[in-house]
Amino acid sequence: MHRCHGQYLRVVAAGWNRTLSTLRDMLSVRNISKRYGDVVALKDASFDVREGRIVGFLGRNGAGKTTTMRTVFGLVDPDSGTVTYDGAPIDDAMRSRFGYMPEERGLYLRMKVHEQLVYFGRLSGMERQAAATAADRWLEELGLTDRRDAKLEDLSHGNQQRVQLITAILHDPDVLVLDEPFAGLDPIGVASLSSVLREFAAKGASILFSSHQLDLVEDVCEDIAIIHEGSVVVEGSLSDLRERAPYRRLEVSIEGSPWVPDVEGSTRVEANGRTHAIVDSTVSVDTWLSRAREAGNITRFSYEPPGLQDLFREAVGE
Amino acid sequence: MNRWRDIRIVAMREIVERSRSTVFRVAMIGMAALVAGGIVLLSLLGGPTEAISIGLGGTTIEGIEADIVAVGSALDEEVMVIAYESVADATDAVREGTVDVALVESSTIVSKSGPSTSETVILSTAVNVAARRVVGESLGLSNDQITAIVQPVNLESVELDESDPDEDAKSLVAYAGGLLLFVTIMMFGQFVAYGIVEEKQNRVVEVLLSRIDSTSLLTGKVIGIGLLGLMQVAVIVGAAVIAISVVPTDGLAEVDLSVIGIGAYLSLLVWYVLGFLMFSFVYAAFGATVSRLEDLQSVAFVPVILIVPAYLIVTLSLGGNITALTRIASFVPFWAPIVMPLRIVSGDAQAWEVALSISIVLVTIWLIVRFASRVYRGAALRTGAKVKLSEAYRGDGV
Repeated sequence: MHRCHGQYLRVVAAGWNRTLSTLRDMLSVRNISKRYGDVVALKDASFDVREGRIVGFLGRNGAGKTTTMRTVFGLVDPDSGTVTYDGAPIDDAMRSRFGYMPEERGLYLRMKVHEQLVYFGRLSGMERQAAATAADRWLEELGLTDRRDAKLEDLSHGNQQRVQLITAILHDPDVLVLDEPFAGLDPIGVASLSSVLREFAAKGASILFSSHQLDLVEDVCEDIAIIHEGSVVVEGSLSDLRERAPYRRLEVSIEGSPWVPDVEGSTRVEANGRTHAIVDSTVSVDTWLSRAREAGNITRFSYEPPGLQDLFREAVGE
Repeated sequence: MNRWRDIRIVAMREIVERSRSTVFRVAMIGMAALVAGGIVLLSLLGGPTEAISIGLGGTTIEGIEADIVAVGSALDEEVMVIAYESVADATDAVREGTVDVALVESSTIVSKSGPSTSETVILSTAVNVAARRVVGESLGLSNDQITAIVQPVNLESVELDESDPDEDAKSLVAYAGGLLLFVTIMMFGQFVAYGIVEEKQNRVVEVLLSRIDSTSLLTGKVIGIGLLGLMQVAVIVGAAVIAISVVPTDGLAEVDLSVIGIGAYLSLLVWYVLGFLMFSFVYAAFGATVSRLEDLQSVAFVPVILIVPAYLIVTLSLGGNITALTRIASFVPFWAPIVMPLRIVSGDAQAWEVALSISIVLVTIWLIVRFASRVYRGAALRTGAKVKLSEAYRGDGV
């Protein structure tokens, strides 16, 4: 059953790729492969980030997310495959329109916040004055104006994260690539980062970010790409993928206890302390309802398209 | 256009941030103070020599006081003679330090812990001269005849090696210059390695390399730190020049630094730049292979091993002692920046030799820059365990 779903999703992905390849202002990763000795880091990975879209980049640890992102910035040379923006290979000049926040946060601990931002802004091609103005604007927007001339090491962890975000967005990039940007943020930080991402998407930027917090991805992203063992196995609009999935999420309680149909075409899933079933979408809701009635008094019945959790679990074969 | 802009921005940050650090300031002021202080101290120690004081006791040969003073002045020593009433008085004077040595009974030198060579020579010669004079007088020789007998013969000195009256100045500048180059190149080379590891350790390198290419980053860092080193060389040389101009005229000031042409001083700066470029990129390559400052020591010794022989050769070649080894070493890539300035300052190097040496060094620098950039690119994003140089050279990222 897992295998069958995976194939289906790949077909969906291929369909999307054809549709998307006609669009402009798009970051396009095409068939990139990368080996390190015997280790295959990327295997023919392809996906797109369209203009104005936020793509959640999902995968287990070691699936190839960071390697893919580094490829976009020329930090890794793929053995084969291409990364293009607007249909052209990415060169240094184009890269100055990109913003990157690596998974491993990196800033100069002893440099003052504002000076540091200006430095990174200039390295992204900004003039000193423009960088200084933009730095002040973002510091204000993220509530850091009073820390402007503090050394980075004197800032709290959360505030250092905010400064890190500003280094990625200071030069108003058209493409934003963020590796685990939500990791370690408190709820307020999550909210302000989400709104910054939406703000950039609204301006037409292409945004790719990786995360393990699937609920967050569901909240922020319209599109997702799931990478598994170096290949992108699922790609497309989240709502589309959910609707088109050949299975449904069934959550039933009988007399207050979780109940899962014990038949072919139903898989028991336990996640986050709750139990539900992944069932074949070709079987009608009525059938499941009557089976549940046979089991006893229904105290809860929910039948929905699968959530991102389920899509992810199916895609990575768990 | 972008590359030079990137390099300039990186270099400026290095200069501004590093010159703010207390370590840098303390090191620079400390070294300048050390050099200036050393010069002042040397001039005090090397001041005019004191007179030798000699006591006489017991039976003395008539007129020996005059003979002692005469022999002393023939040997360029100022001598003071005090006659004591008895052997015991003279011995006490030595014990109390009133005199340096005493001649007793015209036959024994009394001293605290053995007479110095000049004391021995002066006294034994003076006793002989006095004895011959007394014998001559007893034989009834005329004054002229006695003078002819007792007159110490002044031996002429012929030096086979043409002596260089400016040798002291040349040795001083060559040694100080070599030391300064050695210390500064090593120190600022290590700053480069330190800076690279620091950026790896705090992961900022990935943020940087997503914006600019690794060669620009590396070059900017080396140039920035190198200019700081140049500033330090200038400050230290300045401190030395000021110190030399203010110390008393005796001692060091006898060393006339102006005998060495301004070109030789400028060549020190040129060789600093060449040596620094060469070694900073060596340091960069090795620094890039480790991820933590604690691990830096395990690789930082390599450049030191490369350069130390040059320093030893400079030390061996001082005082005009330039040998075939020195000449060969001045063409060996890693040694030339330290050894060639010595030959230049000593006036030993021909123009073509300097040109050849510079060419060899430039080619070496070019090779090292290529090698180091590639290693840096291959190792910059690799964290954790130490990366092998060969692996970093072949690999790329992660």
